[in-house]
Amino acid sequence: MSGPRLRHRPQVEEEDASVLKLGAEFNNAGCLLISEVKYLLENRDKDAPDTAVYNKTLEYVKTFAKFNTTDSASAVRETLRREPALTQFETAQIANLCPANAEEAKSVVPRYMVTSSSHDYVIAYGNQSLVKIDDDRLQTLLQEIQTMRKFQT
Amino acid sequence: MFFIKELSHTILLHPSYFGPRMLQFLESKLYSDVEGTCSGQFGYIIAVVSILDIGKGMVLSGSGQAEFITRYRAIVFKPFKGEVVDGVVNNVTKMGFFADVGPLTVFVSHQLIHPDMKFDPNSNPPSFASEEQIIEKNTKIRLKIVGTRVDATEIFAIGTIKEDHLGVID
Amino acid sequence: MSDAEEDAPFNNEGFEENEEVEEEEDEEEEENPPKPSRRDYDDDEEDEEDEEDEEDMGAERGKKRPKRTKRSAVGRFLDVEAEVDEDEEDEDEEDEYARDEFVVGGEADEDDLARRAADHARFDRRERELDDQDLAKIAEDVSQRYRRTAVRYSGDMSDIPQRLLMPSVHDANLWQVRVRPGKERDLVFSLMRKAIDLEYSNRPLQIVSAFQRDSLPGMIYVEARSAKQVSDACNGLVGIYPSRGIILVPIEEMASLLQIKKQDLTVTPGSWVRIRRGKYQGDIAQVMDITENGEEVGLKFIPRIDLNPKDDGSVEIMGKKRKKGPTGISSSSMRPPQRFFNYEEVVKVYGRKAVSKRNQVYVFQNETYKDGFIEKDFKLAGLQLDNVNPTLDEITRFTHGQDGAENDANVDLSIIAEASRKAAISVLQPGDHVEVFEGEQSGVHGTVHSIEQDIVSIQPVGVDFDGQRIQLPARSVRKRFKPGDHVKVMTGQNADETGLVVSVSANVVTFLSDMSMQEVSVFSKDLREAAEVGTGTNVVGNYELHDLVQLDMQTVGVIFKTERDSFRVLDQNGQVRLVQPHQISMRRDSNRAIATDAEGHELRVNDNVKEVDGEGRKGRVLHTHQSFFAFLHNRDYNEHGGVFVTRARSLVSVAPKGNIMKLGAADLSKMNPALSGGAMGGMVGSGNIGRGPRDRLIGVPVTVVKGPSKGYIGTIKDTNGAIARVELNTGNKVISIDKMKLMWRKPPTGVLEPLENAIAGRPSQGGGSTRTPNPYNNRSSFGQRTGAQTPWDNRTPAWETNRTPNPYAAAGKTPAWNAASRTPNPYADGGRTPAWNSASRTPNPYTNGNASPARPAGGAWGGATPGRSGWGGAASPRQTGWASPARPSGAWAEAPSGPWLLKTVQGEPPLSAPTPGFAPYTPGADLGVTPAAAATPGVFDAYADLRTPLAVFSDHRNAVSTPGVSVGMFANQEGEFELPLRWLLETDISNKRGMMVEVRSSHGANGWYNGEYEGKQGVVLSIFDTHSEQFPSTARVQFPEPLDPSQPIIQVPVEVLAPIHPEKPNEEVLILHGPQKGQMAKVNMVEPGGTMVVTTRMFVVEEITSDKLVRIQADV
Repeated sequence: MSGPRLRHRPQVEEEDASVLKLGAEFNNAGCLLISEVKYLLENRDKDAPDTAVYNKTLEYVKTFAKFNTTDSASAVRETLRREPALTQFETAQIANLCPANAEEAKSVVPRYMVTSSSHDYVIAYGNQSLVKIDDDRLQTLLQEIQTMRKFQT
Repeated sequence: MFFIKELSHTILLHPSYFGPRMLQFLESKLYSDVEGTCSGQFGYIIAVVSILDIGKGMVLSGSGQAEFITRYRAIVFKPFKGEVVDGVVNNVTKMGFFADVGPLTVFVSHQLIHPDMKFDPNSNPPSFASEEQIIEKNTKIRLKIVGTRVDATEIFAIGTIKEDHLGVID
Repeated sequence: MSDAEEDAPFNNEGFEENEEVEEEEDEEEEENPPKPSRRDYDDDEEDEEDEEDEEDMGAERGKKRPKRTKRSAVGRFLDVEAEVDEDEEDEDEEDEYARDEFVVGGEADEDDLARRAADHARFDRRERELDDQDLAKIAEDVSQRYRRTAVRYSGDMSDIPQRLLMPSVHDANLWQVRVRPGKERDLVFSLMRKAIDLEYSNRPLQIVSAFQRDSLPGMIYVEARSAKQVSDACNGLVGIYPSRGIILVPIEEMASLLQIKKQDLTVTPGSWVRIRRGKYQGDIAQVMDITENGEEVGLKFIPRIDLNPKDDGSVEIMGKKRKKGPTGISSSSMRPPQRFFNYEEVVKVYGRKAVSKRNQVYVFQNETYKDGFIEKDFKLAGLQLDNVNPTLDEITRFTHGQDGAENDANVDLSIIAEASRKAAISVLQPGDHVEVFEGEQSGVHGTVHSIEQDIVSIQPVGVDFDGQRIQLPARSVRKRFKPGDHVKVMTGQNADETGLVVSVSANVVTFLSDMSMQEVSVFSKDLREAAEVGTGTNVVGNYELHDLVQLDMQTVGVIFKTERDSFRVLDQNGQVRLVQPHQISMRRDSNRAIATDAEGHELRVNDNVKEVDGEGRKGRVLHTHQSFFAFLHNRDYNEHGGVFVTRARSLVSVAPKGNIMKLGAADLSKMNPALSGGAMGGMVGSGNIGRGPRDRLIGVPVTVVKGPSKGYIGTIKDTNGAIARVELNTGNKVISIDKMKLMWRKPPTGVLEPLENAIAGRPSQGGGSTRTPNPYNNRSSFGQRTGAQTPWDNRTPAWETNRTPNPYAAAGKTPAWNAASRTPNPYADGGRTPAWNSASRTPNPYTNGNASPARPAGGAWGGATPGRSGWGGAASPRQTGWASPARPSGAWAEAPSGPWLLKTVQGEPPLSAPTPGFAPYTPGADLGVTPAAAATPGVFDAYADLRTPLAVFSDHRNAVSTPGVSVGMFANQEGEFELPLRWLLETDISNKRGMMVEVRSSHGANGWYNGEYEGKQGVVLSIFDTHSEQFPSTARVQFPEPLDPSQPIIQVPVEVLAPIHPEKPNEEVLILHGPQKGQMAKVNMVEPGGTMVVTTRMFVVEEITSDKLVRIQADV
């Protein structure tokens, strides 16, 4: 059974957003909020390319942009930036999904930390350890965002 | 997840394009080449935001063509396994439903739909329905991507709504 | 064969089976009374076996009995033999004779009576002999034979350790003998019979034993002391090849030859097996019960009843005695499909009598059917017990039973799991994700690190393990998949299918197929993770998903689904067809197909469109067909894989296309279409000559210069080859006329110019000074041209050349050759008939040979740098050479661009006609409207000739030497003929002397003697052909009135020398052209129009025009 045929397959690190493993290309890439994408697409100086991808995306961001002005979007970003423990990805997820409470946020946004080098990551057991923000602070943050969303101009 | 990302693209330029409008050629070429494409590494390249460096044209020996390695910044969309996204239901079949998440199509199998939601073959349009919720075309849905498959031209994903905080959103 | 097998004394089966069957029967009768058909069957079989046994018993008993007593010692080997031997016979019996067996009995009886009597007699005799022998002696024999092993062993004899039974050097050796494949078993039996026969002769066989293994075809093994004994034994037996070598089996391998894996242990009620042969070959069956001895198992499986029996149906067959395996034959030719037994159906076909019902069981054709399944006993050997790999489908079929209802006897999944687990070991690979599902590590998962035999070492995931590896038996791990994994099916009917895992339950994985978007459930062992998308199912034969294929003359369709070896095709009528690759006549390419949508826009492949009427479906254009049908694809539609067909006219583009040229979409690594547009567009832009722009001659104002309409003015309305349709201004009449008879009335002055100037001139009428072509444009255009056209295409008609966008023109410059052609021909000055005149109607071979100048140029310059620079160099001299009108022809020779001139010297046969023109070679057939046009391109043409492969060149030469008859005809019709420039160098002429010549075309800066000798007449004394490009060939010419009286004889370049034609009778002439070329002649008569009748020195009388003659001064 064993023989040269059975060479090792290269062990590529699996991408998994739930543990914030986004792969080498995206671990440190700048995430965009849907609202920001909408702004960028709508304010393009060039003609819109006529591709299915573009059109579907435009439709999508129009549907799901939570913050319809640049001001509110940047305000949200500013708010979230104040929380240094959050990664770009988490920031964007919170802003995109606008979870109502900490419980929901923890469920829909990955909360496991990945260190800067992509390989030696720490896996948390269960949901309790390595939560980077305690629930109260998270709750406050979310509330703030909800408010901004409600009162955006 | 949408990202803003610096990417590069190589353009070969025929000598007949050398001249005053060369940059224009290159730019339009870049836009048409990359926008709307999809790769496993970067996901969908939605739109080029800015061109950082059009590149120095290196004339290739033999062909006379010039090679420009162009760096640009683009909005890309790459779905990740485990990511929670919102989408719009596009098509419902008895096997499950398809949802559009931007350029991405996500299939949610009936096995990954809460068993309370039953496919209702008699409804028009076809739908999955439970006592309080209904999933039909154009329903907005929050789902979690459980797997992706990358083709040359598109990414396909399957998702689940069988977890807390997932499902129909208003 | 089965008979022979039954005879085997080496295997005790004959006896044993008999006894066993009886035993079994007893048991069955007690436990299992309601199984009549099985009973019947057993009985029949038993009967037959009894008979057969009886036949042989006489022969065998003597040998067999003692053997059985010895079994404790050697029995192991023999036993083993028995198991092997059994393998085949049973099934053959089952398959072929199953039905006949109960018929056989009676007949066999009579046949064998006589033989049996003899056998009995012999048997009795032996029995007696045996009895007579001293029992003690037998015992001694036995002990002698086996003493060695026995002696060394001091322990309890009844429990001999295996190792002491192993053969040693003292034992007889095993010899491998090659035999005819398939005959192994027969030969072993033959050997045995032979041994028995000769046992008491004076030369008994000295071999000890013989056996064969099914796994080793083509060889038998004989136990003997020496090879000699083996070959003696084999001697005379057909099918044994002792000549191929009798090979000694090494002692250590002997035991393994006889080792056999015990298989029967794995059979337990409820487990799955496959039937090896016969009608049910490959079918899966479930074990119901096993006989005590483990030899037979009762199986339950899905029957294959032929519901469409042949006309002389089964009833008749049954009645006929001993018809050779009717069911066997019919079943092998056409196996009925698996189908649950349905009483009504069967009765309908076979009649009520054929089926009887007892209790819950139907009996039909001696088979028992229960709950739709057939229940039948099989010999273990006829079954495949390992690698059964029941598929999920098969098992589900079983479970659901006849009515699709869940059977009460639910499938024991653990058994499948057990079966599949063994297979799973072999499919594990390092890197696989596995999980442990039994044992103390249960629940752990990780990746396989390495596999050794049945032990896998896995690298578990989880903090507990901290990188350490654990070793586990392979059977306790299974591949692990999670929802979302991308997997590929490795085996089974869904092989190569890929998809994303949707759910996993135990070892059944459900995934969503990438291709069909359907859910598929398979065992996890059949899966592996795969990055690639299932291309395997995407391509069958040469055809691929979404290909447009031609099905028959009228039908095309698009493949929307590929199956294992067939396609589903949606044809243009919306019908779905299942086709095999061979039914497809071809694949069609609709990339170039043109169709227009509802708004009249062009519809291209890959456009996103939607229907304006009907269902308003959207989709991407896959193909268009006959400008009418459009095949669209949209993933969102499940029907037909998202492919649908609609009318092109009912589509609109989803994104309206603007008229703006999408620059970006162009391929920037190709020629810039904008640059290659304009004059060149037809060539480069579309790459399609056939669809080039309309002839640029259309609309050109022209004057008819020849023929009955001469002098009329009109406009070209259409062109077709060399013919133009001209609408005359007067009379509102459209005439068809040869282009040669037209000249361009160049606006605004109405100056007449050659027609082709109109082509070149229309885009841009550049001055002579801007003639230098843009190297880039030229280069690329040449490249393109060269690619597009054969370098030398004799067939290319001249007009095409005209249409071929001129590279120079493309650059917006006056084309070099056009410029040249516009230069008035110097010869024309000499009052010569214009060259076009001659060429116009002549089906001149040279006209065929007309290459456009660009063509050879393409070859020369097509990208080679030297070529380009060479061109650069050549350009300016030409410019100067041609720019000034009426330059003496000497200019040609002096031009530094001489290479081609010199080549012309080599290539052109000098013609006797004194015209130095090149009209025969001109592309001017069409181009030339002015003499100049004809003459000048001629130079190019000659140039082209020289680069031509030899074959073409020789063709050219042949053409040159066209028999004078035709020439004469031409001459009569056209009255004109043009000599090549270097007529003096032609063979048959270059060796002559005394030709009277005149200096022409020697004007210009580079002209010969600055044109001082222009018009002078002289006599050629000798010709010096340099055969070189660098040095002009010259002729020594004696001038009667030299400029410098001290030098009456001067070297003159041949190019500037024109022949002086005869004018009066009785002049001595040399014939320059025609069959009499090179002949000296005398003019007899001068006819009007320049035709002369000459008589050669060979007294051949010829009528020839004077321009094919040159005067000779005889006295030099």
